[in-house]
Amino acid sequence: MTGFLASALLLFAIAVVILWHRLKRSDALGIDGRLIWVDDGRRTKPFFNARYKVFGKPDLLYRVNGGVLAVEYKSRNGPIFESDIVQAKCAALSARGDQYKVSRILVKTGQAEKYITLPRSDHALYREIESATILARKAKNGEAVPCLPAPRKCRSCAYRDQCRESAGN
Amino acid sequence: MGKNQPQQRTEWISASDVGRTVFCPHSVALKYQGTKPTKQAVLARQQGELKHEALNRQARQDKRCYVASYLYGVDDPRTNVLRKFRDDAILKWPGGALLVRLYYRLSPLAIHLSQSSPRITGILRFLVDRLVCWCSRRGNQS
Repeated sequence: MTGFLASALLLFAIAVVILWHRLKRSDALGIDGRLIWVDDGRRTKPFFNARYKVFGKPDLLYRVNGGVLAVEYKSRNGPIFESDIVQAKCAALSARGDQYKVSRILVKTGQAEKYITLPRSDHALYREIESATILARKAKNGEAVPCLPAPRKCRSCAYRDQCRESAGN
Repeated sequence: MGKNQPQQRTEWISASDVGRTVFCPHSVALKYQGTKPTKQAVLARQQGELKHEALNRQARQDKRCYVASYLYGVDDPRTNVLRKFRDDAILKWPGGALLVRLYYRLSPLAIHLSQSSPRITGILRFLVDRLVCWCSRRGNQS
């Protein structure tokens, strides 16, 4: 009798733990928070951060415990690259310049996802992307910028046909 | 920006350009020189936009309000009153999110039972009607 009761209790405890974990998983994307903003493509205006002169849009913003989570979604199947993280950080900085105090980012591809906690101050966040931002401005303004050819990168580059430096040429 | 247009010197830079710079700064330069992207890139971009739309739809799927949707319809004003009550009140209560999740787990069972017995449907409707009235009054007062 005692053995039966112990087994029943154990099964009950396991069921409670499973139910608890399933309840903890939140919305359709598995994000534990409330959706507060969605990028609807071209209809949606980007956020502007006047101090750092950057603009951009995360894909989704969620209100989570302790702040706002920005989601950067990459539709490809594959790993997360540094460029994805930098883009997500820059979009978060842009959103901070508006009204959304983004405290974490989630970078998500078809196969992988990565949560990153951001520095509290905007300046510290900017410092993390500063070199890329300066280089991007130079490229935009027609100044000389380095080329980083690599076979895999160049294969996926949108401008490879016109690039003299391409690793495929 | 076309090839023949004067290059606009501006400090403002987009997050996608900053990210692309880490990938290859030269690709950003080519973009602003007016270089045309490859057909594959255009196609990939269109496919990416479709996948983003799918993601948005998935993220917005919080139109759940199972019992009310079953009783009144997905976009009925009474269903929307209850959704608003969920978002504006219950989710702000301590433990409210857990309560809502528990409701989502249990409401399919309630609907299943209701489908098998009109009496249960009647009881559900009576209870949910009262709740809608209470939520409406509460909404009007605030």
